[in-house]
Amino acid sequence: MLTKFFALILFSILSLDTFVSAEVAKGDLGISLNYPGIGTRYFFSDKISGEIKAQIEKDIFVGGVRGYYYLSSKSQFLLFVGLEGDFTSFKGKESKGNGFAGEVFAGGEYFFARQFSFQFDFGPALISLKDDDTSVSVSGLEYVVNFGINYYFGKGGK
Amino acid sequence: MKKIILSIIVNVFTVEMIFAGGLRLGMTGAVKQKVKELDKKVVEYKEAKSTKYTITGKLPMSPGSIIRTQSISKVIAFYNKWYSVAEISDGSFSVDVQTGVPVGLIFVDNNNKYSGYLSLKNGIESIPLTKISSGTYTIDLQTLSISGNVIEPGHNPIGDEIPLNSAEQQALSQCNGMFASVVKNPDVDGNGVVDILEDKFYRPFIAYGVNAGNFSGALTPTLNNTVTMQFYNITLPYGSASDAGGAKVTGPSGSNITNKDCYVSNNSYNIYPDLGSSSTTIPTAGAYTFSLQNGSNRVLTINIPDQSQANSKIIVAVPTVVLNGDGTINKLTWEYRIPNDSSSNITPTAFIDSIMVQINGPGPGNRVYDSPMMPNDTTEHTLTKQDIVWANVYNISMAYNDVYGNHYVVNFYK
Repeated sequence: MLTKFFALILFSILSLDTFVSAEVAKGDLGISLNYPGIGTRYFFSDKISGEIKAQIEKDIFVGGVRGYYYLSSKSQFLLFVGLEGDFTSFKGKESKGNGFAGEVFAGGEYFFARQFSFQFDFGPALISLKDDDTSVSVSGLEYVVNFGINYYFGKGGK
Repeated sequence: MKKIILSIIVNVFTVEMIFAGGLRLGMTGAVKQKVKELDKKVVEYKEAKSTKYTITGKLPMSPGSIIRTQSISKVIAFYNKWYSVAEISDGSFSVDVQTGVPVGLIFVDNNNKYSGYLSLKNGIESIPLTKISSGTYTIDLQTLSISGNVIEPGHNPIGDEIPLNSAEQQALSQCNGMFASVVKNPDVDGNGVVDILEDKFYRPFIAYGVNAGNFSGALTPTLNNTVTMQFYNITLPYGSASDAGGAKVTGPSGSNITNKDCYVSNNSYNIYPDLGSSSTTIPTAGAYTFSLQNGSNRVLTINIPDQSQANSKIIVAVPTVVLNGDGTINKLTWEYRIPNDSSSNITPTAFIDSIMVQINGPGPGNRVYDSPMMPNDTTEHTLTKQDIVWANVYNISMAYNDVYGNHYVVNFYK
């Protein structure tokens, strides 16, 4: 229920129809609040950025990196594609262990204020988990939707 | 205003569509879904493991051996109503067994007629799979030897794959006795067919009342080397409610049980004799014949083994009382021992099914506390009533059931 509420709030922010001229550029630094975690992003060039992120839910931790390639760098709505790699630790009702995840994603950033953007992306993720006690493992695809709000320091949001 | 309302409707619809489509919100949501799948696989794995314990062995095939003369063709592993049958091929067998319970192993011919049973010697006629060494999934009894209807293994797993210490082996020889009586005679109704293959199982069990020792001013009682047996009763599950009325039982010579009326429990389908005050404190060894008068007129015969060692070999939960500052009882902790080995350490999960604590006082029979029935790995209980004054307690009863279904009320007196 909380998850749906969070998603609804983010969609509502996206719905605000205020035009803001936006630009991202090499050297920009940003922080993001994603569901359900945080991250920090750095632009290596006008179109390529990297992000370190961490997400925590009850008995689940996911930490990893993302790489973004922006199709354009000057627009209120910036489209991108990217790759994500994560390490995860978890505790279930019967299992406990670690695993890895990798995702290919596509999405966009919508600047609703000068230095703030709303981010949405979607893609298939390959997740592999292993139980420590029994060595039983699972591996398979899940389709993941990510939401977040970014704040850019410096030139971001020009 | 219209735009805001429209925006809310669209956004709610979009979020609902995403979740309805099976999409995971955030990588943690996706991992959570995979954890659920892993949980399911782990449960299946553990269940599969628990049914993959196997007992193997080989019967001698020499001319004139019992496998040839009696045409032994099958081996049956059983515990209560659960059983597993395996064919014997060229003398060899491999039977899957249930874990976490003791199982009996018997051999039958092509007509399901009983031919013999596995004995692990020293009074142990069941395989206690309640305590198996880590990593053991197969117990190979190797080449068996046969004498009459007693079949002994070439390799005895007791002390090896089944790592019971000396005290535990003594305790096992005592508490598996009633179950062993069925292993030795699995045709209790005497119709020529092993009962369990007819979806019937008559497992007798025994209830003992025991005076195990005194606190003598301390908070931990002294366990007597031989406890005093106070009373007993035997119970025979008869299988159905319709034909046990008017049941009578006759025991062996010296038992003081001749054509005694039986109580019948239609709830548990148990019958047990009305022993009265003339009873001995342990049952006399020998054959007990229950005649079910009504209905089918079945005659069920069980053999109770020698119980003369019960006072030194039964498992006893020895309590320690922990007091509050005002002299009321806070909790009890306990350890399992056998009387003739004060340093014995009995693994409760190997023998105990469940336990409860009862407190009486002032005076005998004045019950002031009953704990709930607790699982076998429980070794302490904090009282839910914290107003029981230790000075007023007359005795504490540690009442438990073992994995063979026997019941014990072990009393320690102030």
